Amino acid sequence: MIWALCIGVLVSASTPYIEIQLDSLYVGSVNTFNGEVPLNARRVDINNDGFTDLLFPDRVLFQQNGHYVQGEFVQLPNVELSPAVDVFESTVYFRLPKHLRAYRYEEDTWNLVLDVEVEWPESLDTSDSVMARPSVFERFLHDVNSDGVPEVVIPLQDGLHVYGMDADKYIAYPVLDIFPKTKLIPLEDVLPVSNIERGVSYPDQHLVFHCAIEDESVILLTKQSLQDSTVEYVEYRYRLSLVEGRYEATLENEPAIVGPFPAFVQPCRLNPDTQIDFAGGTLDYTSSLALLTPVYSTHVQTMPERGVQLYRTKSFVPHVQFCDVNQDGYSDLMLERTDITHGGLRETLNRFTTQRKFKHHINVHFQESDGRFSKEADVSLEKTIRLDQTPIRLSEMFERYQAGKLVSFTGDFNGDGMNDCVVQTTPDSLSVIYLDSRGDTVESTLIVPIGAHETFHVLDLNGDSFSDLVFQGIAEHEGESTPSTRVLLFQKVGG
Amino acid sequence: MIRRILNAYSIELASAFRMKSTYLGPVLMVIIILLTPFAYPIQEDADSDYDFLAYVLPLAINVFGLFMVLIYSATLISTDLHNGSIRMTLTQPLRRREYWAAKFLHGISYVMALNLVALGTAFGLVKLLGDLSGVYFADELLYSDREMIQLLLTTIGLTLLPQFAVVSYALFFSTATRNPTTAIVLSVGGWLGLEAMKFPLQISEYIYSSYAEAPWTVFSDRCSAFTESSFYPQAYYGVGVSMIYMLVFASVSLFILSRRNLVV
Repeated sequence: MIWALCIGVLVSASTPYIEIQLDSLYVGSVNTFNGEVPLNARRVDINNDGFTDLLFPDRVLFQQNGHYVQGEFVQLPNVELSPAVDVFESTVYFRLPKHLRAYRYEEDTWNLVLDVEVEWPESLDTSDSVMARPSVFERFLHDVNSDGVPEVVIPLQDGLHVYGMDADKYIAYPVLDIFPKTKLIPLEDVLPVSNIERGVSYPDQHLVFHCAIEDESVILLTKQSLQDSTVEYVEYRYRLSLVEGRYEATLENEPAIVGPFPAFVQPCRLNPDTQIDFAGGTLDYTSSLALLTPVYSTHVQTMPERGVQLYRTKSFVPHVQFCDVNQDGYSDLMLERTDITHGGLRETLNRFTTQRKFKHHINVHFQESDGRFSKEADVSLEKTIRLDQTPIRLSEMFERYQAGKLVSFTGDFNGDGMNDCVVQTTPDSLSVIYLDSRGDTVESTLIVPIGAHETFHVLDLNGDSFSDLVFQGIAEHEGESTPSTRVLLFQKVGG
Repeated sequence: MIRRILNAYSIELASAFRMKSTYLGPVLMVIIILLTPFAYPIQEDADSDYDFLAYVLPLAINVFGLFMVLIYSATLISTDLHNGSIRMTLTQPLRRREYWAAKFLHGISYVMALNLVALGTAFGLVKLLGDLSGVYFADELLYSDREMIQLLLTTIGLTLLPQFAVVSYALFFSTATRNPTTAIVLSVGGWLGLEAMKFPLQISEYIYSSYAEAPWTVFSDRCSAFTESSFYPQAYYGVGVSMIYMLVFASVSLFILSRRNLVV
């Protein structure tokens, strides 16, 4: 008994993580441009104790001793009123049909710090059907003028609605009519060639634009389809400023046309500069030699004057296309490569029907300070993945391999400033490959068990600078209980 | 000795030219290549059709051709053993190992013939229906026609040794059995069995047939404008493994042939 206890203590001391169950947590698909994973909870310090808590739309789970205890939730007030919830500097705001309320959690209780009547825009849907829904997160708070008091910004069809604090009241400023207007475009200008080939005779009737609010700047990007199936963006930059008691949007410079790009390229942020970057990737299959060799092409433009950089690799969809691996603030390019189609037709067919082990390569091209990605890989890893069945059986694990779900380079598990790599190397285990600050693999590799129907996600849940692993199970059969979520909270070894 | 081997080899070739079955493999190969454009269309356009060569040549040489070489080589000695003509052949001033060497050269010639037929037919087809204009990527010429043709010849050259190892392997079964059908079944069956087991047993690196297709990956990559792939070090392994297999099968075959009672 004493021996068992000693061994247990030794084992727990050697593992750099603690495992907790957190079934309320749900993780969505990873953002392929920055490696962030969306959660159904926000990570904020609600009780101002210096530790990150988990704020759900209807309750909050406080961090206790570096982890979370399932079941010890604290309910949010006003949940029965189906509010839209947002948070600003530890204060939780509730946008109710006729009110804006804010609460702060102090001394184990929710204290009302703001309750004002606000006349929301008529076009904002506050009907009974919407009000019957559960409370949801919505990003409506922005500190536009950087005064420490958030403004409420609501983009609607007629423009940008801004509400600001004025004498203890939130007042509505005149609507900023800055959004592009829909208009009928001549048929021959917009009808893509691909539509003609497919016999589709009507043009696209919708208007696509992106709106980004960054401090006092509003950036609008309208997307226009060109005849050769490419797209171009028109960039408008507005500066919001309070002039004589009302917000005005001033166009900072002439609208700039960016592109053309392939249709899959999207606007994004890949470095700290003020320019919008454009990137995207597409999966094609080449049929020369082997049966349908997957080729993933990544197009990226970080500096318009330098044009588009193009990278291609023999790979299925990667886990993420960009990720700040060396944590320098510049997203790095991730290129994966599979050996699954190495060889010719006969070898590939043979491999698909008889082989379960494949080599997988992960290459990272760092982004330089001038926005260029290095031509040669700065970090290269090779790992062997053993599938549960041969590829021809199209097992769940192979499908996840094709979807880029078996490899992640988005987490730093030892907090050394260089991301580490997680690879599901077998059906029941993950390998955490630690990298040193130069990007070389260190000898120790951590093996972590994973369930048969679990998927893993990498994120820093408790905000301690050590990335954590979230395992999400799926119900094996219809009608079974809700999926389970367990979390491995990585921490400093010995701490 | 070399003169005797060459004499026996020339007699072998003359006899092979007279047999209709010799032409079966090349004719079927031509038909397969001529039918391939229905599955993998080629046409005169802005795109170069080297990818068609990368598609059709491994298919013709390494899938269909390999079977033909196995079947053809497996019958080379077993037929002589079966009908007793080996006794007549060996009444001439020819040692048994020289007889085996002539048969091996015969098999190698068949491999060369199949490769040349495949290459000539595929190349002619592309010249006729498609076009060869180098490999471009993003409007930049990555590989000129000359470079691609050199690469193609290097690729075929590197696949020859593994194919010669196939001849040596099939001759082993041809020497070990008197019945040509049994020799064919054993060599094809053994090869299929080995192919099926090499990945589960993780021995693919030690099997010569794995290296017959590896060079085509490089050619295909270049056709698809992937510049980083290289023949090396796989080419070295391919040469080494194929040579070892050739020597092993040749030694065992010669041992069996030297001990075999040709009368019974």
